[in-house]
Amino acid sequence: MSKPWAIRLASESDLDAIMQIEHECFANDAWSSDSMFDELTGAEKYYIVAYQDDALIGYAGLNKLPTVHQSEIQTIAVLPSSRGNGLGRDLMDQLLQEAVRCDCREVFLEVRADNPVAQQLYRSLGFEQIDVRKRYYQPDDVDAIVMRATLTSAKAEPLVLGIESSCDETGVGIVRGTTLLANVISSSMDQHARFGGVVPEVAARAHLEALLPTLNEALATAKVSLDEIDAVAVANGPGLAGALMVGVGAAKSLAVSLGKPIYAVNHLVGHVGVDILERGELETPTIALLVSGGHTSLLLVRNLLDDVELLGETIDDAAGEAFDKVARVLGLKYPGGPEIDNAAADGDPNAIRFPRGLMLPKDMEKNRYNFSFSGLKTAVARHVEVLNTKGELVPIADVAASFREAVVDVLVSKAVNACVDHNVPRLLLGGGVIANRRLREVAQQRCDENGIELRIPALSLCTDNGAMIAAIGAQLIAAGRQPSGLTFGADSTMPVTTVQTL
Amino acid sequence: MMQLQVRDADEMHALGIRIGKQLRAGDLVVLVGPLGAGKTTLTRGVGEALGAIGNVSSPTFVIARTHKRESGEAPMVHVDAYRLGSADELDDLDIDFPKSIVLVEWGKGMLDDISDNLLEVEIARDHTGESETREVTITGIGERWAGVEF
Amino acid sequence: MGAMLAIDTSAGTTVALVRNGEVIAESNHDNTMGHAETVAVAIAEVLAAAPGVGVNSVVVGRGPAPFTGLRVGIAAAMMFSQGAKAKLSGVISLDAIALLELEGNSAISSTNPLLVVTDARRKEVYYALYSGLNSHGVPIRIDGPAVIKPAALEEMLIDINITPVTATKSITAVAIAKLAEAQLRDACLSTDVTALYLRQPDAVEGQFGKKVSG
Repeated sequence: MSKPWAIRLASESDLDAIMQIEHECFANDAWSSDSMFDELTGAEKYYIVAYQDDALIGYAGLNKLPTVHQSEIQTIAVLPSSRGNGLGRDLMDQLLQEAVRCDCREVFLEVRADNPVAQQLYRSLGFEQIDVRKRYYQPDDVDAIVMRATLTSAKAEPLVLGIESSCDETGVGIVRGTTLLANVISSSMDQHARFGGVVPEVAARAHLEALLPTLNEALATAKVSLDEIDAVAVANGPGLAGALMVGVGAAKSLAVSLGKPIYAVNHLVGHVGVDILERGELETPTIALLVSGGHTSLLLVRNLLDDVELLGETIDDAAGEAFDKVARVLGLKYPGGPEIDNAAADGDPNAIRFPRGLMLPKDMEKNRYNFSFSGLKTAVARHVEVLNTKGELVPIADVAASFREAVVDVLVSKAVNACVDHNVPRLLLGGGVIANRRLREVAQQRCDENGIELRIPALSLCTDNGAMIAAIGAQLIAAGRQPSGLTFGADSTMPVTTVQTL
Repeated sequence: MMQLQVRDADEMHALGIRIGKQLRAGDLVVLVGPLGAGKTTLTRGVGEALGAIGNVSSPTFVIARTHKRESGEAPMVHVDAYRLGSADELDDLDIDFPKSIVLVEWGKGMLDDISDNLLEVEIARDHTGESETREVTITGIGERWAGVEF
Repeated sequence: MGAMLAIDTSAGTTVALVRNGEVIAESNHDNTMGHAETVAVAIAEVLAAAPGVGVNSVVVGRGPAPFTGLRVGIAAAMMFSQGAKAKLSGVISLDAIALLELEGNSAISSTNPLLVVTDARRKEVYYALYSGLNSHGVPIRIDGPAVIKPAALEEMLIDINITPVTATKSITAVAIAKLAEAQLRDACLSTDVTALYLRQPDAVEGQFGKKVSG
């Protein structure tokens, strides 16, 4: 841990040092040396001390009542000179962890009514006022506020920071359990702010430059500080190795500096899990169609964390890629998706019947859930070439619309087939290509026709982002999963069946 | 240098297998050809011959994909330089060239300083659109490819 | 008193925790790949060797280096400094190698300079020339850092009639820390942590004779 203090279990030999702090902090309320000794040595007592450069600077104690699954914070004290740095929070975290370890469901404490700083700390840890004991503290004549925290809530609502750098976007997201607090993607920030005007094309260099600004904007948006983060999550695959490595190195290092656990999660599973941030949960089983520049995959999700099956994927180009390449063929700019959409607005989707890859009867047997867009891309290129050779005008709108129709047709047909074949009446869409309106339209139509419930998360959550990564991290924590170690690397070809790398 | 006529995707795949059987660590192959020429199809054949693990699909978006091999030997790295602006960006991929078998689509001009040996596979399509046949020209540059046939 | 965490991934992964010139702990891994796997382990290792010691300064080697790994170290340094609320600084890795070689070596001078050369891939090398240490112990760089073909480097040295002493030591985080501490004394420790790629457009033409400040 990088904090200027360390915490360990208290022992009898700490009595004198503790009593010095006791007197300094509690003056009129100080316990006697004998009482403190009993506390330090009592059964079902858990006392810890914090030290810096060999001197004690604080301590805290817990009284455990295991038969009723409750604990009481007996005391917590930090030397005035060491306050304001998060030591109080740290000591409380340790006590609460011990309470969780002993299967306590509730933790109680009393705090002086004239100590708003302490009250705020406890509130931020999930404590609520339940009672007031009038004039409890004597001779100061101050009321005691009784507070209680219910432990499952602390674990079920962890504050997680997620980092995404699998391809072009640097994303940092912050969630509290299933609540989205911040979702910042570097490309959405002012270009100048990120790079000072220079825009590198390729991932890895850009990620390094975008990292801190994106992190800081996320913290500011969520109105939390790094100290409050319970865990860090990072996408360690699949994707571009060099880009992933930057995120992995960054996330691990952040976790170590905060003394918090890290979870290495699958980028694709992130796309599936992001719906939790809108609905609070993912209804399973569900079919998921993920379509982006780098991926076109059809998944059967029986359980987000344990059972994700790859039904099919592209055998050549990803759908988003096909859009980019066809856009180029048509003389349109990058990225191809929105450009094709604009061009197709006035076009006739049935003007040209472009081939639907892997949809022939023989394909529906061998490659039922696989995709192929290469033939389509070639057909469009060929169509345009022929017109150019003949000196004829290329009807861009019609070509764009017809091409788009072919892509959408294949994507939706296969997704709907997957739902029907597996008797799963739910379809979830994810990935940047979902921004395509025609895809959403046709998906809705065909789902309605087949009694399938269609889920499309908000577009800002469909593209690569850090919030989806944080969401998976939070799910893993809520499920009590072990954090990842510090030795995992970037895996550019990680299969979707690997949800977390330990 | 050799020239072949390849009639369809299956034959392209088969050519890929023949090429793949001769590849070893340190080899660098550049694939040249327009959209839809069959570069990825060829690479799938190479991947099959090498026992590459994982789906060999176009890496345009991710730029490079590393496939371990069933035998555990030198991995196959499938690169698509389509989105790269310069050779420097190819550097950024940090590929361990001597220990890998690297195939680069759209890589013409990007690989000059990497190795003295290069296998260039150029795939040309029939522009009239009449025929599916591709004309494939394979050129071996450097000692490594002297006398090698597919 | 707080300690300095030094990180360099311009070659292998090397991390050190230093306080007041004393090395508290270091962790060195030679593998020039696998930085993403190793960097955090190394950081955790050195921190574990000194419980209760806070980090108030992070220094990272900026390269030059051709490896993606360089970025991993810089990213790790950036994020660690954020989490630890520590100051973040950067040094040039070649300068740290020079420091290792120049310590106690009085034979080096501007007519008999030290040449530090590292692999830049693409059949090129990174180089820098040093004439010695200044009064604060900071290496005086008289040329570079720049990227160059080995043959061109040889030619250049012949042209200016210099047979330098070539560095043989490898970079360590301890050297990075020592360099940072020296630069602190010399009030020239930079907060710039951008990676040095040294190829266009940020290439700096090596010009012998022009003093490049340290």
